[in-house]
Amino acid sequence: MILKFDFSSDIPLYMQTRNQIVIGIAEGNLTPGEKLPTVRALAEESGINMMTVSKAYNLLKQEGYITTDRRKGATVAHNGNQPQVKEETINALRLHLSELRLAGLTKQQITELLETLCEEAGL
Amino acid sequence: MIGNTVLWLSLIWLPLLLCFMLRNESKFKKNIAVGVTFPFEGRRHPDVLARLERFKKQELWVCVGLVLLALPCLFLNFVNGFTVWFIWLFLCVVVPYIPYVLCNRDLKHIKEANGWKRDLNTEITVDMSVIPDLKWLSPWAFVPAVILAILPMLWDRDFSLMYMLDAIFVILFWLSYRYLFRSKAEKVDDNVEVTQALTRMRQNQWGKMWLLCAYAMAALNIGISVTKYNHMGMIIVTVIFGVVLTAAAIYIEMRTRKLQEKLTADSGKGYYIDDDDKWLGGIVYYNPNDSRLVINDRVGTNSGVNLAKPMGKVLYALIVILLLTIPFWGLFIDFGGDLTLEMTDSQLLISDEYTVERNEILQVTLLEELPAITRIFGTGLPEYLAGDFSSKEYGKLKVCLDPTSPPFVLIKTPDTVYLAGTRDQAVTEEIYNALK
Repeated sequence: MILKFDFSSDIPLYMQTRNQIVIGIAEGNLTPGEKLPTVRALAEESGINMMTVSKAYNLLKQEGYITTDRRKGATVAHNGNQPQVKEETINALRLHLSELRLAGLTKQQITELLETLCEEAGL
Repeated sequence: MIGNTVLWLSLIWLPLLLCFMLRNESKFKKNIAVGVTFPFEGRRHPDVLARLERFKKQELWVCVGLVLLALPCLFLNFVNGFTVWFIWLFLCVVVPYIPYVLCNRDLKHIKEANGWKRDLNTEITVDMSVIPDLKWLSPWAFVPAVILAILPMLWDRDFSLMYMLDAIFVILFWLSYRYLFRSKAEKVDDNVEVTQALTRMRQNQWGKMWLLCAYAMAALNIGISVTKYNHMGMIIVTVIFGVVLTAAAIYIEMRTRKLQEKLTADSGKGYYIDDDDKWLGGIVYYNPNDSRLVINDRVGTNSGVNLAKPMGKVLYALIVILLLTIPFWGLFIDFGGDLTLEMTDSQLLISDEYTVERNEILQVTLLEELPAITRIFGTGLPEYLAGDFSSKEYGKLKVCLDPTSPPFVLIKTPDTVYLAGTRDQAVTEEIYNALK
């Protein structure tokens, strides 16, 4: 799986890391039980500060996407640990729907757009 | 003349080596030549090949020029010639890089003109499948070298300090091995196997280099302890140490470069990594988005530092200061000046080095020949010896003399033995007669 870090983006690097790993898990690029690189290894490879990578991993752990073990390191969580949909995710979806509506899209067009995105994500 | 010849022989290989290493940069390794990355088709472009050929010729001429420039140095006065030598040394370190930087600039122009330059972007891409999980040599691999380095202390106490310092160096070599290498994938394109092979190979070569340094240091200590009172033997041991270590380091570096060249011979077709915008002049790494100070050089085995980090700026400033001051180093070498022996009513003054209370002198001897002595700490030039020395016959000595100007006065006090002399035979004999 390829991670891309955009240093000119307004999104903080830890959030970019977190988002890409979440997308990677959702799209099947990272499978349950798969070992993730250690915080140190990912920081060495990317040049990003170790604290930033650590912050992203802690967030992913809190959200239930990954599990960490002192010996095994970080691994992608199994389905049993499936995280609940957060309130803020629903709110963000609601906001995006409003933006699409204000952009002039009909319910039919929004549904078609969502279906295309779902197909691209392998859902 | 002997001093000059030794100096000449010990320095003349410098421009040869530097020019050889820089000429090797013209061969494509990891798609890079003279610090510029090219796609596969660019590597065979006539303009690129012609510029690289010109670079090789320029380096050759620079090398010939520097060697010719050193020839008159053979006939210089040893003392006054040092400043000339250091100016030459400065030219050796700086001049070969001028054709390199010019070639780097021209190649970048060719790259841009042919549309091979990638847009400068602020994005970093990390392939999680190739992040290395490197296995490091155990510290135990270095422990025997530490033990061997301090082993001579069992039979030789005179050089204890040196043996201890060398053992500390061995520990520093392990620390350098472990912490001056960045665990980063050597990615050149999307070929995972090549990336993994390049990464493992580089780390292996890095380990070999530091292990070699550690055991060479231990061998040097044992060699010195064995040849302690044999001046020629000690020189031979030191020269062998220097030659073997340098030759092995060059071999490891060239082997790494050869393997990098071989493994990436077909690389650069389609997707390829291009970090040129992060390397100033193809030599200095500058990347404010990289939080790491220590970085791996693009080709070969060595490491470097990131100029964008505050500590990187400090280190580069120190290197620049060190380089710019090379021509003045000669002014700070102590050549002994006028070696003097002066007597007052109560004291004997040996140059500016030692003061001996006359009432403490137990015995004075005039030596027509210099005994076999070995330097423990101090200056050891062909025409000036000063500091702490050791002799099989007299034990530890405080020395201040010109070995080419006998006779010498050996002065014993309850605590210390002094060996001194001047460059004037009559003065030395006069002092001896007054003391005996």
